[in-house]
Amino acid sequence: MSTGGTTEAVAPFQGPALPESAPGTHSAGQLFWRRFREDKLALAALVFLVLLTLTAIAAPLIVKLIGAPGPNVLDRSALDSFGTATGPSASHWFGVDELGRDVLSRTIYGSRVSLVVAFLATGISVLIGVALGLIAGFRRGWVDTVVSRSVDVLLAIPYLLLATGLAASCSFGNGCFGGTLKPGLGVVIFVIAITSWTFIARIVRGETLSLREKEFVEAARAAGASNSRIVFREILPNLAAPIIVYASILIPQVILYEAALSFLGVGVQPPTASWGQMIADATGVFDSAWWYMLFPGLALLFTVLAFNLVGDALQDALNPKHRRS
Amino acid sequence: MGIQSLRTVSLLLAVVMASIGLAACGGGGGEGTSASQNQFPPVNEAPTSAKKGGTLTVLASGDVDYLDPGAGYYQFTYMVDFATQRTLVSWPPNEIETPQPDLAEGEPKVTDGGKTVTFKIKKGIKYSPPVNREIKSEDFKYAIERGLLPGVATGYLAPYLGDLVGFAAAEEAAGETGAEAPDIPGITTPDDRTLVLKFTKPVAAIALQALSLPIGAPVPEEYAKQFDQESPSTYGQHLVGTGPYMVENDSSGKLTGYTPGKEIKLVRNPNWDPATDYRPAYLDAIDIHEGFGDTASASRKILTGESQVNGDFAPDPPVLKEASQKYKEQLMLAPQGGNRYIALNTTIPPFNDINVRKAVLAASDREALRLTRGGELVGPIATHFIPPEMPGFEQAGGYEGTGLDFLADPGGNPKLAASYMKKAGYPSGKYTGKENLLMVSDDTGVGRKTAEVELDTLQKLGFKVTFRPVTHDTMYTRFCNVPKADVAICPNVGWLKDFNDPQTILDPTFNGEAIQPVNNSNWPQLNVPKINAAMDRAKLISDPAKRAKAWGEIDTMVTEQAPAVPWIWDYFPSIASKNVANVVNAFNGDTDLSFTSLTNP
Repeated sequence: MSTGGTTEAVAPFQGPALPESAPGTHSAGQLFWRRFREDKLALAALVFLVLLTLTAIAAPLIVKLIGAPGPNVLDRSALDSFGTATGPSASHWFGVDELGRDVLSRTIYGSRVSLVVAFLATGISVLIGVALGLIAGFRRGWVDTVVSRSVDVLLAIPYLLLATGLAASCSFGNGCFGGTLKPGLGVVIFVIAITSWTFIARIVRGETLSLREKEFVEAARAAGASNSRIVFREILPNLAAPIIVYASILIPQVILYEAALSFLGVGVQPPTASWGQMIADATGVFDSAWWYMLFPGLALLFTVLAFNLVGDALQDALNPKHRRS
Repeated sequence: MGIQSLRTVSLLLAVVMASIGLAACGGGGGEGTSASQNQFPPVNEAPTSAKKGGTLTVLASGDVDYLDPGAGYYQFTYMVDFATQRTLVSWPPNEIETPQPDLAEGEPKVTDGGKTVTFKIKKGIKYSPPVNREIKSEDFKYAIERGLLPGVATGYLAPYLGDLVGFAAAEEAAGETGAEAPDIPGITTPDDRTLVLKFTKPVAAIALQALSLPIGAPVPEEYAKQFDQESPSTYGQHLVGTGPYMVENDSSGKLTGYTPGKEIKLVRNPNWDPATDYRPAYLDAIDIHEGFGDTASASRKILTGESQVNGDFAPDPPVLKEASQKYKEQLMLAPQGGNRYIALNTTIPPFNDINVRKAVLAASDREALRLTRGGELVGPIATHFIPPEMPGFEQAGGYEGTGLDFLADPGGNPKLAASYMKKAGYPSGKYTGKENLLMVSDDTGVGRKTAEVELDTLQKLGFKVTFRPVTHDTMYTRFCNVPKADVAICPNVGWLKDFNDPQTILDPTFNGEAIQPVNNSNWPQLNVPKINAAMDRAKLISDPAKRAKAWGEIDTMVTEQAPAVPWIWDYFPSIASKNVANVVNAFNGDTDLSFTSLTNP
């Protein structure tokens, strides 16, 4: 039947989420980029994040290029005779920590942990949240009840406490769940992911509930489309904008979350460098070794700020109705 | 048998002391050929110009374990006990070798080839209020016997007084009846001023030393009995004593000056007669403020004069550095009479191969390990286990050690390590086996730094190490003290003497017969029959020179087995504010409250 074709043509990018982009003027992508570009601050942030990602990927190369020792090289000659850390110098631009490790190269390597956790944990959270939200919103009935109540319960749990407890018990001995979850980065990603999917699930459920009543979905259904076709071809594409926006809000939260876990000593295991852990180690010696906290602290600050700026700009560009003045 | 529970407590001593960095003893004098001179030797005598009066404020991060002299087993507790409890023999602040008669009148008489000890008790010594009566010999008998009660459980009773005639039977009886202190027939009191201890073996020398610990303080049975009927005993909350100070209490004897974890308030004991005591007791009162978890800021408070003396914590390296540069007159470093080492589990492959262990010892950078605690300032690098100024130290090679090649280079010797690895069957000079080794350390502070330094050494040698930092308590109770936990490397262990005898350093830690399923303190699980037998023989030697020689030889035998990386004989840093004439008790390695005074009270 011909109606099916029509629906398909309308659905992908010209659904209700972006009603302004009428056919014939600009594609949604172009429109989005034009709006995003207007925000110079966000552009700068985006450039920063691209550079940061490149730095993280090429960390060994960069550390070598600037002639710094590796992140886990203990150099006792860089300590003074009391075993206390020494500050920025020609051989150690950011100074060294209490074990004589180069703070610059640890800060560079620390970006790896932050970014890996940021993207993986956010990705997993989004996957779980979207899947459960879609199912709940689309099937409604008891499935919706179960998912929604689970989300309510999870939201009522103090998540940092839960995460700390979980991470602590998984960081112990041979991990948890019969050794399937080993201490380290895996635990951090797992813990963050299972405590962060709830907001996405709620939003996706709400959107799905309203989308499934829309005319184009009705039309697809009347045309005899299967449930999975409706979900994947009609509803999901229309959820792209809110998912991107909420994922971009989640990323900086996740980075801080990882830093908090590492700060509390239940995150990434030493000697792996992580910003949170470096800051934690530095707290006791801040008045005598400020460089040890300052540099990873600034790295964390700028990274989270950049993600927030980009996230805001994304939200504005994708959802002009909510544009803030 | 109570050995198990007793060891638990005795272990607590080592555990807690080792952890917080508190300790016991060391030597006052600058004798000996110190490899690295102590730049801040402790003052062990009060200045002649010392003035009477005033209140001293002491800061502590934790609490005493027990105020009850039968149960207390921390260095910090001893600091309080030494001011409130006089014992049969005790330690003037400049004495570490032989305890001096205190409540005993003159030297105790040792007869029967070292199997019998007779004490004469001093006249006219009275308990603090509300007991007020004169002490008698039965009080000392009761003090020891109540130590067997499960509600008191003196940690060091069985190891040092376990050879008293009838001890084993009494110990069993204590377990059964519970509330009634059992009779130990080996302790008799012919009259009110005579106390006789009879042993089945010639162990008088070590027993005498043990009676300088708080167990040698009298306890009035008629008063304490009601409290000892409870388990744990509540005598500690109704403490009386014979020392120059007492914990503030009310007319019934209930302590009003003790809030656990917060405060201990010591005031003068009105029944103390200075004519009977060698303690000058300058201060009028002592306020101990507890719960200073942030030891860096607590240390700074003391150095800048906002508070006065540190009780149970060692200042961190940055503060120590500041103290040694800006507050030189306010810092003292008291030798601890203890060691720190990295234990290698000799039962776990590949550490069951002595050449692999030697390789680890050879590779270990003990200079770097020492820097984690504050560098050269905090003590000499260890080359064996008996600490400086303890009998047996020189016999075991002194500061230099006995010339074992794998302990010759304090900065580590990777080449030698590689050659030992080759001997062990790894032709590349690096470990290429499959074993994954578990290393469990402290998760914070200095302990974790030490562990990370050794981790680096092990990884460079090719070992695959699973590194588990956990809390200090967990490190001991769930991992290192439990052989079943299969921990290969315990980097944060060490042992502090009970008193100045090498047996107290080597026996609990390297005797194969001392290995326990829980609360084990033989961390390397070293079990060499020849060493075990040598220890059993050495315990019975009473001649001091022969004893020192025997234990010195045992130390060498142990070190040759490479069961652990000994890396420091460290000092306890005692700091004080400018207006305090701090006197450190050399035996306890901490401030002596009965000798310390204020410069302008």
